[in-house]
Amino acid sequence: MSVQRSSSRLNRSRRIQVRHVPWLIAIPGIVLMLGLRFLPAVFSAGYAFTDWNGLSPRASSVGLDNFAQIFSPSGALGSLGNTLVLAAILLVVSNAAGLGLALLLRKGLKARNLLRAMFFIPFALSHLATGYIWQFIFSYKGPLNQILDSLGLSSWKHTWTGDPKWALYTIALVICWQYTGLTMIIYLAGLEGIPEELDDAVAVDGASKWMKFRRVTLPLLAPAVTVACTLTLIWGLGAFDQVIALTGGGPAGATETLATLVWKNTFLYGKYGYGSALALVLALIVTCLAVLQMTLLRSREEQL
Amino acid sequence: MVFVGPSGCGKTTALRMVAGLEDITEGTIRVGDKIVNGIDPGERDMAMVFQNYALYPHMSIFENIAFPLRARHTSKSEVRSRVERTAALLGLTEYLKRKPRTLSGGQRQRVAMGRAIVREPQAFLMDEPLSNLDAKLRVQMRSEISNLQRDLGVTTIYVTHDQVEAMTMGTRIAIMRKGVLQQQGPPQQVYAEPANIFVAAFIGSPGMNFLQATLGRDESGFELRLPGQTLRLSDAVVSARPALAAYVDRELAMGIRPESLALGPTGGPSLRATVSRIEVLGAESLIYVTLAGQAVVSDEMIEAAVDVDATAASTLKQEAEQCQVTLIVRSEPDTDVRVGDQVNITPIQHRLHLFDLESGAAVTS
Repeated sequence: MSVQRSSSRLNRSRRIQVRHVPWLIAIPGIVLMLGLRFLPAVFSAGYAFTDWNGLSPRASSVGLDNFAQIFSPSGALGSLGNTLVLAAILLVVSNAAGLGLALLLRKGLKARNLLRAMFFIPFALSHLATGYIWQFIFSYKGPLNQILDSLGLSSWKHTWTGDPKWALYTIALVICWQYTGLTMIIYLAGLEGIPEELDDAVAVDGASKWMKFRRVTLPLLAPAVTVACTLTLIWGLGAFDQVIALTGGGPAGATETLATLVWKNTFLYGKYGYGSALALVLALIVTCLAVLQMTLLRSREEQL
Repeated sequence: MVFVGPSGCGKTTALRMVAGLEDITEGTIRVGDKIVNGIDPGERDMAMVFQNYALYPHMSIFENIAFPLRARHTSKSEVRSRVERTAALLGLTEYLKRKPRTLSGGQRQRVAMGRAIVREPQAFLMDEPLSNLDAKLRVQMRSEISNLQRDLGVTTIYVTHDQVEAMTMGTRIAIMRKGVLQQQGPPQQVYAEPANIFVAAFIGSPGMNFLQATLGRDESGFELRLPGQTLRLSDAVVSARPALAAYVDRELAMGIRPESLALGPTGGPSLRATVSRIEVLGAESLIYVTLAGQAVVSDEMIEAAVDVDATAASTLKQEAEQCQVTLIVRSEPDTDVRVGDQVNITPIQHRLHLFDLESGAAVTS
């Protein structure tokens, strides 16, 4: 009896040990992840309630002043608007274009593999470097205006990145160009997952191309739509490299985004506290919108 | 009409050409009097049932069945009444709100049938619709599809590699090999009068027995010469095949079905053989007998053998090397022969088949 009990206790302790093994393996990774990624962010969030300048040994608490300033007329509302506009354009354009390209390059075309690679390359290149190339293209004596000249459209010429009316849209164009390659790859992968015999079934059932797309292809792409939309939304809200390269936030703040504002306040203007508050607001916006969007899109997926 | 043949023989391709899913290089396809060569699959008024059902996974069963109607802009009330009628016919009424993934294989199969039936098309095209079901369900669905087809009276082209399905379901069957139609006709006719050695070997289970023999002729008539024995051919066999005279002193292939061989002396010309194996199947026994002779080993024979099972082909080659042939005799279950017994087997002469060894064609007129 006692032998039996002790052996069962032994078994239980061994079971517990076995159950702990995955955790033991994961702990170093979790610690590193928390230590290097989340803790600095949390500590930094603490500075959002101070007027620390990033250098002085002391920081005094200012309560919610930094946040009040962000949402004041002279604050960051313009940048917030720019950020949302960029994110919205990227979300709509890169997903529509990526899906369109994926449908075109799915099969049939002989050069499809080459074209797929070509459309993907912008995403793979350094965003800052290609940003500077685009800045050259958009400059007053750049290729774009030269082309307009040669077409006899000189009246259309602009200093694209220097004109407050156009600057934000030139940035939007560049980030769409950059991310469409990636959404295309995501949608291509999604299309690969749709069984080929469904194509045959649709053909025999006599559905039009539009009905096929709306009733069969698009619903079955729902998981890919969730992934692509969530990623583009997050990237759009965090747009930074392209803005810095093309306009640096100008002219006169016309293309300032929350991300560029965070960087400028924190590292250029010596307003670490205010920068932290901006970063916190940006993080909250990204989290809320991404979670909201994913919840909406996931509910469509569940109908599968 | 059932298309049957070993895998890769082109039966599915032929069906897909009829459906319009595959381009054709020459010839015409007609539905009724209308040539449909260049017409889109959806406009051909034919419905297809696919091997993997090809149901739309995100739609309810109702929507799956309704899809072809919606593609034709049928009115809502009409869609509802037709889908409900079809579902009732197939016993799917209680599943209409479910998704395909929650259904069993047999139920999904019925949904695929429903999607075809609801259109009331001119023809059904079925591509191995039962191959994903287990054996028991397959038998059940086989008769359900047959009954349904009879009740609806719609022309159906049915593709299968299973000759039992072909024999039981087809009004006519077409046997294909390597993209070429070998023979077509009512199942019984194809079984009894195979046009060539491939059809003879492919149709029937257990398959037809074959052995090579030299045709001899003397003053009293024709005979088949085997190592150490001969089999005299009856006058009826000879007179039914005028072309036989050209084969004198040449080798040809003799074929005989297991049920056309009788054990023991029954009066007619017979062959001596040794019993090598007995399989008791309850209602009947299969007696395997071995005799000296040359097995028929041609591409057609090997292909037909591989379709039964992979080892059958190697057994065939092995026997050919050892210069012996195993024949299967279908007999009453209460036979008293033992393994090792010497027996006489008597072929029913009017059911004997003779084939040209080179072309494989049946020797007839």
